[in-house]
Amino acid sequence: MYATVPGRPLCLAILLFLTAIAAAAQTTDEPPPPPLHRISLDASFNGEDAFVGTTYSFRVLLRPHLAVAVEGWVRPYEKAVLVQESDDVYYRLQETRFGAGLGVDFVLPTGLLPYLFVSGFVERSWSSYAGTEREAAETVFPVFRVGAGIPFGEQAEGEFAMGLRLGYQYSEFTDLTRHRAYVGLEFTF
Amino acid sequence: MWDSSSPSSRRGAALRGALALLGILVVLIGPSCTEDECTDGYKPVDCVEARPAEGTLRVQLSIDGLNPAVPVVVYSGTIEQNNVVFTDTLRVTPVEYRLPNGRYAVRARYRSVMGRDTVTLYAIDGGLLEEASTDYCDGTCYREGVLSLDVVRN
Repeated sequence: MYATVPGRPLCLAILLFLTAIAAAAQTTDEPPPPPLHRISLDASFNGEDAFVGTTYSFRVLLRPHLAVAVEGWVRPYEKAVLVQESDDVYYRLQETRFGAGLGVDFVLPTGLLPYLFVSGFVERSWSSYAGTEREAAETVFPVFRVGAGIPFGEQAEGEFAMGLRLGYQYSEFTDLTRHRAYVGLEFTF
Repeated sequence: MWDSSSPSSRRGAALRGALALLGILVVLIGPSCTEDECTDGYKPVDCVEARPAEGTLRVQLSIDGLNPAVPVVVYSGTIEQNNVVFTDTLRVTPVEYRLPNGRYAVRARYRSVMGRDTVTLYAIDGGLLEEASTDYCDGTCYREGVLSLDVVRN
């Protein structure tokens, strides 16, 4: 027995349908730029670790969908870490860690909602240990973030708005798992 | 999605945004800054108005087959300052000590297995032992503080 092969009209109809969906998903005009300023309250976390922080980004006028960004963060609790002193001596220390970074934030100019974003930062991290004056080695590491932003409603010209960013973050800074979930509550104006 | 804007409208947007953020901050932290009538209630009859000079240092550690008795050193300040307050060998956990308020560090020494090797592991924690207090409309009541230090093995 042979399977029934769809005729040419059906193939054309499917093609037209898919083309219509693709056309509907695109904007006809150059999408307008994102707001000039953005401040967000951030959290990045996985099963081993969590940071909270804040980011400020300022849109670069020459490239309207690109923003320069600074951020700071802190681990809101002490975390036990293991430090090797020699072949047969280890220290278990209670670490406090915070950091700051400088980078760029790029909103993909699709004109779609939710919008897509990609961020990259160079971060510097500091830490201290409870009960001891030992210092951790200097840590400079990259952070990459990608995800989607969901504005809470339309943002007209000159208006203040809020939104939510959800995404994935890669933080290359310790032996801990480098893959994190990212959540940011953003204020744009 | 977003509207493009002229420089003047951008300045206006920035101003409005800054004012909105300021408004949020005022709503969040404003009540603690105002000097309205007191809403904290009044001191209870058992209120202790004198600051306590001592408190409790609670040490949490690991007791197991490899470490049935754990040597512990309690320091004033940090480990590096080497002001030893006392040493002890502990067979139960947690253990509490009464000490004058101040900054303390605790170091516990364990034997631990890393891969195929048995190594020495020092667990260190530290913090500030200080009194706790509650503010009322007609004064402040104090309680002895508790400093819990975590020097478990894992």
